[in-house]
Amino acid sequence: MKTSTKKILNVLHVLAWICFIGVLFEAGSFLFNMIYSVGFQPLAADYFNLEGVLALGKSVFCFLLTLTTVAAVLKALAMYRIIKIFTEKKLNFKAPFNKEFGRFIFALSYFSLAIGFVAFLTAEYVESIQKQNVFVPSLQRLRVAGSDVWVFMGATLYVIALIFKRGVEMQEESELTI
Amino acid sequence: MAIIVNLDVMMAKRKMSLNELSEKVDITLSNLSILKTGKAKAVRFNTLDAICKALDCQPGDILEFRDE
Repeated sequence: MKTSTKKILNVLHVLAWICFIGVLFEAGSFLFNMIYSVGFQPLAADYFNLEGVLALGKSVFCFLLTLTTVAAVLKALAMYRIIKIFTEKKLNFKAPFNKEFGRFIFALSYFSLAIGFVAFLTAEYVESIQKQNVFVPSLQRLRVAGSDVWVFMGATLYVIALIFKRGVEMQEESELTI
Repeated sequence: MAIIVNLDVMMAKRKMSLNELSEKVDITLSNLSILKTGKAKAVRFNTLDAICKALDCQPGDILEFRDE
């Protein structure tokens, strides 16, 4: 492996950790805000500018924050898979087409598709709330923007994973050719 | 698979060990073992050539088709 590639991978490893911790905080803040606003202090809903939604109904507020929490947890799980590949050193440049890495790409594609689906659901739900003349912050503020991008990424990764799967088969065949 | 590798039979007939064959055909022990146990997916012609030379036999003595 080239030194520059090694350096890039090290930087990516650190970035993956930072993103992982970030999305964990994100998920935690949504979850905490939901429990605290509903159970103890309704003013806490102001943190995400969701006081109008809470006033509309606790169930609406909870459902909206559950969707954003699920999206954040899915992002955290995807990040965890990336970190796992780095820490378990499954990225082998001498024989890159291994089953573990193939499963990793498939998992990432499923996570991306799932995040896209949840983000789309949230966007639709937010739109239905806005129709009742209730202020809801932007999807960027709720960290669920760009569902189409997630779905596109998921579909692309799925195609790459399928091609990679064929690559794994070919490498296995080559390894078992004497 | 319907193709059976009879390498062990030929080695026994020629009283040749796996180590000896490995040295003669210049193939690692692990690869020869893969071939012997029938786990191999393909055999290169030059490998077959070297094995036939070392064991003084024909490819048909090593490979056999058995309809399952």
